[in-house]
Amino acid sequence: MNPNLVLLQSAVMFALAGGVLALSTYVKLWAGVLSFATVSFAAVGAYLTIWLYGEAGLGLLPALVVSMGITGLFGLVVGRVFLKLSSHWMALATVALMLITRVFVTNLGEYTGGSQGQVVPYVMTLPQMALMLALVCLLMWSLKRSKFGVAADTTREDPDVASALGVSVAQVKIIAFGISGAVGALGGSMEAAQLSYIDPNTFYIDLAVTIIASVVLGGAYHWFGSVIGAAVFTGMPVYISQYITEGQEIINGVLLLLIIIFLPGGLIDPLRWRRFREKHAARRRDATAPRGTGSGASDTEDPGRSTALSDDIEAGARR
Amino acid sequence: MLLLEQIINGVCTGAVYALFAVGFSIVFSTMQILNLAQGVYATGAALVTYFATSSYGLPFWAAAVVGIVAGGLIAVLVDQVAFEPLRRRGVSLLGAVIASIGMWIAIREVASISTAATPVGYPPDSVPRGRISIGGLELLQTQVLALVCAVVVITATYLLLHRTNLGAAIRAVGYDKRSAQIAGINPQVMIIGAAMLSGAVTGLAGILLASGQSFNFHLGDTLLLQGFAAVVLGGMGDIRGAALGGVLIGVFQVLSGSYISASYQDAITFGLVLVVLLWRPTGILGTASFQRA
Repeated sequence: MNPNLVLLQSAVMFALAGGVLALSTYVKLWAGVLSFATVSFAAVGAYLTIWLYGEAGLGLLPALVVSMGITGLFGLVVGRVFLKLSSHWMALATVALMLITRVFVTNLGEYTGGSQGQVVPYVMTLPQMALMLALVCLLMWSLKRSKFGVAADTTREDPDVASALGVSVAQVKIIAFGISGAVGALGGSMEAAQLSYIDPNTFYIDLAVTIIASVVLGGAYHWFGSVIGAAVFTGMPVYISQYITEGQEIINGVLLLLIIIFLPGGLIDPLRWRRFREKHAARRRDATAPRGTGSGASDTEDPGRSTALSDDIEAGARR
Repeated sequence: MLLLEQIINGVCTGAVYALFAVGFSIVFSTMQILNLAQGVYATGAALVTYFATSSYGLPFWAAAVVGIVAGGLIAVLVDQVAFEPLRRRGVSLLGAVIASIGMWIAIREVASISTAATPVGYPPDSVPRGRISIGGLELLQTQVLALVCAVVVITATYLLLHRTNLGAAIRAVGYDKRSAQIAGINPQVMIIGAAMLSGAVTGLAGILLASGQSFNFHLGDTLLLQGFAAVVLGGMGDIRGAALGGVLIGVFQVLSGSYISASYQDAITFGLVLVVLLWRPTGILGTASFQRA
């Protein structure tokens, strides 16, 4: 096969694995929690999958399902324990969790290959990976429409208002950690399959930073942003490594900085889109409705104005 | 005697962590920024010192001064490039964390390229290498140097921030920028000054850590994590707490490494950090003004 095409395929597969990992982080951000725990979930999930597949002799799919289940439970426990911590203390606690995970990975050599690392016994094809990302996206799509989605949106915007409205903030956050655990386990298993060799540094700071960067680039307000962010931060570097051999991280860092300064809502910011649509619609109305014709014109404008106003209120609450 | 020796080893290691944690808490208390780019100040200062000794043949002392200044300048650069635009726009704390991640990975890559990603070390004859025996205890000269530097610099920083008008002005800006401005303080100058001070102290920590071993561009990452641990233990926004936390982390690491399990040393340390974080959310000396749970 054409080497360029091989590289492209590899880039796409890394982007798919990165997308699943980014969505795992996104679920927590959805409930208002910035956390590095996804790499821990990914490590637990990947090593479980490898063990279940290689030692326990399960098929790949059952191994994945079991591993996701166990890591999901682990996520629930982590969520429960860290529940009381607020914003950056939570972030620090998950950094500690990431370090502790790495120590265990290094020392449980019997299961993880220790500091030498180990070969990943299973492989995944491009269509399989694409299907998995699609399934996770489907999960996000249905979550967005579920009671959890609404509750999580409210919790992120204002936990106090959320609890006043009868949302159990604690429950939303714990569930978010549980989902993040299961999705993170899948992402970790995919990442491991794509790397084909993993060691204690695989699921560590570098991956954590890349995942956070993906989610930030995509935007915290819509799950699809994380998928695009992952393509930029995990897929693109693989592909352009043929042109740029060093300094990739400089580009990533500067990119991250530019996004947070100029596009704080991320690439996929539903609010900005809606504002844009509103403005566009208003301009069209201005163009079609003749000016100064009295009551007739103002009647047609009223509904539009009222939605714009409610949007502004919503925006005020959000930012 | 062995226990005493271990504790002193721990205190010397902890002194470096304490310096780093102090640098970290200067930024935190004046700007309320959780700065993940702090580690690269240490890496940058250590590397500048390395290049000054190995390429330009400066004596270690002079090179260290150059390195400390470089650490301060990197901190000012990061502050002006990453945090100033955010302050102007009033973006949230989380935004600043993410901006600092951006600076962290970008500058770390610069450090990696400048050393071709290989470990480097100060020329062997430039750093004091011998041993000193004090009351029957054998100590490395670099350890004593670290301890002395930490005590002097941390005390000086504390006095500067809490006993001088300049320090009062810096803290006033951290407390309320607008009121400070009304009182005739130029917040911009104070913020740059605080960043410079923080970078210089952090840079010194990096140079000291690097003087005992060969190091690579990950030097600052190690310090960053230990510094976090120190700050969590001691409480944020208080220099005394950060310094105490650093020393405690150092002692705890050495003791848990030699008496419990060397391979689970980090897990034990960070497990302790988690326990403290969950059980006593304001740190051992934490002030109640800053809530974390």
